[in-house]
Amino acid sequence: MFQNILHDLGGAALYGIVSICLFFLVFTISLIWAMTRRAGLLREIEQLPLVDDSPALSTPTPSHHE
Amino acid sequence: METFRYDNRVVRNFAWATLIWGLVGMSAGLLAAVQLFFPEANLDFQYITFGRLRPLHTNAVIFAFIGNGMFMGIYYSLPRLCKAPMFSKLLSQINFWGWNAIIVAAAVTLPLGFTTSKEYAELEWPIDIAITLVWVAFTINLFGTILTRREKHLYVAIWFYIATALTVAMLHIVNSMEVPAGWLKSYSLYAGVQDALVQWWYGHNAVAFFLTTPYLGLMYYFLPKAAGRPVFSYRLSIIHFWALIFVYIWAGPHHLLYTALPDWAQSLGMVFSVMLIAPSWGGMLNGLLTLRGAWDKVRQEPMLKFMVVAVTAYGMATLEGPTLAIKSVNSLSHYTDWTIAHVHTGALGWNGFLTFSMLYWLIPRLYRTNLYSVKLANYHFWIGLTGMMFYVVPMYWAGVTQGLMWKQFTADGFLQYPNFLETVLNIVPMYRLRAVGGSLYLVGAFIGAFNLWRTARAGAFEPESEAQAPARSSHATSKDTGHRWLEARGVLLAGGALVAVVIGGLIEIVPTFLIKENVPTISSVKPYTPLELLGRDLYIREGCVGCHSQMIRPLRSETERYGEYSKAGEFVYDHPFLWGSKRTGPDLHRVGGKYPDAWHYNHMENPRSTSPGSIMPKYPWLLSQKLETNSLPARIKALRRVGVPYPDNYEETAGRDLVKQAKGITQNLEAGMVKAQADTEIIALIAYLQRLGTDIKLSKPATAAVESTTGAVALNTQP
Repeated sequence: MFQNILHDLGGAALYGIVSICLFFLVFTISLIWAMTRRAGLLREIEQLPLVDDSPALSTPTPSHHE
Repeated sequence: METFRYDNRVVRNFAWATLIWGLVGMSAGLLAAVQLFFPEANLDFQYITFGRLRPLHTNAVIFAFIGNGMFMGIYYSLPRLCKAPMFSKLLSQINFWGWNAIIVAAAVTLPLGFTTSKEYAELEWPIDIAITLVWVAFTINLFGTILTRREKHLYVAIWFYIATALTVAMLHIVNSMEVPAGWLKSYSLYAGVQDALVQWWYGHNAVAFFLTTPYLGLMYYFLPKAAGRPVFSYRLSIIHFWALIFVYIWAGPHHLLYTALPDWAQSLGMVFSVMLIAPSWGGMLNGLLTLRGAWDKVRQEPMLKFMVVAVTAYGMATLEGPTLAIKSVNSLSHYTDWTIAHVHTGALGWNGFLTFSMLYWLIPRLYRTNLYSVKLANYHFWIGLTGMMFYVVPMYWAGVTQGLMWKQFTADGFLQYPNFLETVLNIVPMYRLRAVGGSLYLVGAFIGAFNLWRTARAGAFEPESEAQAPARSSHATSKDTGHRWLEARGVLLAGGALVAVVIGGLIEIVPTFLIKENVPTISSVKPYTPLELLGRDLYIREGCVGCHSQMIRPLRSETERYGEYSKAGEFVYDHPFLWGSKRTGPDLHRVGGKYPDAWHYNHMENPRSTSPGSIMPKYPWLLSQKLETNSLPARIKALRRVGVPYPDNYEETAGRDLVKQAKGITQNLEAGMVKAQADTEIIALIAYLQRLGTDIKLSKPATAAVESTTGAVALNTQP
C-alpha cells in the first residue's frame, strides 16, 4: 500500500536477510556454548542463590538452605 | 575468610516505597477506569480528567510500583550473589531518594498537564535529565559491586540486571531527545513517522528491559530460593538470556502495523515477535519446572503461589504478544481494549504478583519474624487472582466486540455501525465489570499491605546482615575457557549484551533516519499557525492522545469511517507525533472541517449535549481559561530548531496572526449562536482541530501561501 511512498529504502530487503542471519548466528552460538559447558561447573553456579545468609524462618517456611 | 555486611536499609526503603506507590498507582487506575463509564467521577476537576490521570496511572505502576520493586529485588540479591556489599552506600541512597523524588515530580507535573505525550516517556525534560543521572548512579553501583565481588561466577540473574541497566539507558536517552521551549515544555527532536518509530522502539523495549528482563533476573533468584532447589536447567537459562535480549529489541515495529512504516520493517517486527515465543516460553518453563517435585511447598507457602501465577501470566502474555503482532490479528486488535487486557495480564499477573511474591518473602526476613498471617496472604492471593480475571476477561470481550463492530459492513457495503458512539455504548457494561476486577485486585493489595505492615511491626528490623566469604582472588585465570571466561568478566559480558541490543536497535533505527529522506514532502502540508500550535499544545496537555488516535490505517473499514488514510508526508511538522494507540473515542486525523466551530465549542463544554451517551469528560475550563501566549515566541523558536520552517523572526509577528485567526473563529462561533472570548483556550483548540488532516484536501496550491481552514490567516513558510 505504501510502496508508492517508500518504495526505495536503499537495500531495505538486505536488512531483513541480515537480521535473520544474525539472529540465527547468535542463537546457534549460545546454544553450542550452553551445551558444551561442563556439568559440574553449572551445578556449582546454579547453587549460588541457595547459599547465602538469608535467615531461615520457622513455619510456614521451613529452612531449605543447604 | 573475610567478614562483611549487607545493607538491608535500602532494600527495606525500596520495599515500602513499592507498596505505597503500588497502592497509589492502582487507585489512580481504578479512578480512571470508573471515569470510563461514569465521566462525572472526575468531579469536573481538570487535574484528574482521564487524559491526565492515565499517564499518572501508567507511570506510577510502571516506574513507581514495579521500578521500586525491581530495585528492591536487585539491591537484595545482587550483593548476596556477589558475596560483597553494594559498591557504594551513597549511590544506593542517591538511587533510592533520587528515584522517588522523580516519582513525586511525576505525580505533580502530570496532573498539571506537563507532558511530552509520548507513552511511558511523558515526563518533561528536566525530569528526563534527573532520570538519566539516577540511572547512571544505579549503573555505577551495579558494575562497582560486580567488579568488587568475592564470588567468581556471575549468576544468570546478574546478566539480566546488566542487560536492564545498559539497555534502559540507551532507550531513555534516544527517545528523550527534545528541545526545550521553557522549563516544563519541550518538542521532540523527531517528527511524525520518525518520532513514532523511535517512540515505539522505546515503548516496546521498555516493556522488554524494564518490565521483563529485571523481573526474569529476580525470578531466577527468588524462585530457586523459595523452592529450596536450583533452577531447572542452567543451560536453558543461558540460551534464554541471549536469545531473549537479542530478539526482543527487533520487535518494536509491531506497534506500528498498517501505518506509514515500510512494509519490510513491519514484517521484520512481526517475524521477530513470533520468534520471541521461543525464548519467553523457555524462561517460563524453566521457572515452572524448577518447582517439579516441590509442589507441596506451593500449597504451604503463599509467596510461591504468587510466583507460580506470575510465571504463568508471563507465559500467557508472551504467547499473546506475538499473536497480537501478526498483522491480520493486529488489524482487529489494534486501538481496542484487547491491548489493555494484554498489558494487564503482564502488569497485574507477571509484575504485580511477582512483586508481591518478593515482598512476602523479604519483609519477614528483613524484620526477622514470621509472616503475620498466612491466611490473609492466601486471601490476598485469591482476591487478587479473581480481580485479575474480572479485569482481563471483560477487556477481551470489549476489545473483540468493538473491533468486530468497527469492521462490520452491511450486505450493501455500508458500515453497519457508522456511529462510533454506538460501538462504545455496547461495551460500557464491560467497563463496569473491569472496574469491579480492578477494585478486587486493589482490595487484595490493601490486605497484603496490612499483612506486611503487621509483620514488620511484630519483628525487629535488622539494618545489616553479616556474611563471610573467602577473600577475592583474580576472577579469571588462564585455565578458564569459553563462557566461563566471559561470565567471570562482568564487563565483557556487559559488552556482549550491549552489542546484542545495539545491533537490533540500529537495524530498527537506521531505516528511521532513511525515512526522513524518503518521506515525500506533500507541498500543501504546512506548519501549524501560531493559534493552531498553541491548540495542539493544549491537546497534548489534556492528554487527548490517550483516547483519540490520529492515524487512519489503509483498511476499508477505516477509510469509510474516517476518510482518506494517513500519509507519512502529512506528519512532517508533528513534533511530537500524536498517532495514539487506543480509540476510546474516534480517530481525529480527518476531523478538520467535519463539524462547525460551534459544534466543537458545545461538545467541549459538555460532550453529552452533542453526543448523547458519550463517555468523554467535560472541558468547561477551556471555555474560561485565558490562552497563555507569552511562551509563543519560545515555542516557535524551539520548533524552528527541530526543523519546522517558520520564517526568520516570525515569532515577532506571530502574535498578530494569532489574534487575527482567533477573531475569525469567534465570528464563526457567533454565526453558530455561541458567544466566546477570543483569548480563551477553547479558541486555540478549535483552530487545531479544524486544521487536522485538511492540508492534503487542498488542491495543488498555486502559491506558497496556504490558507488555514479557518480562512483567517496566511502563513507563508517559504523563505
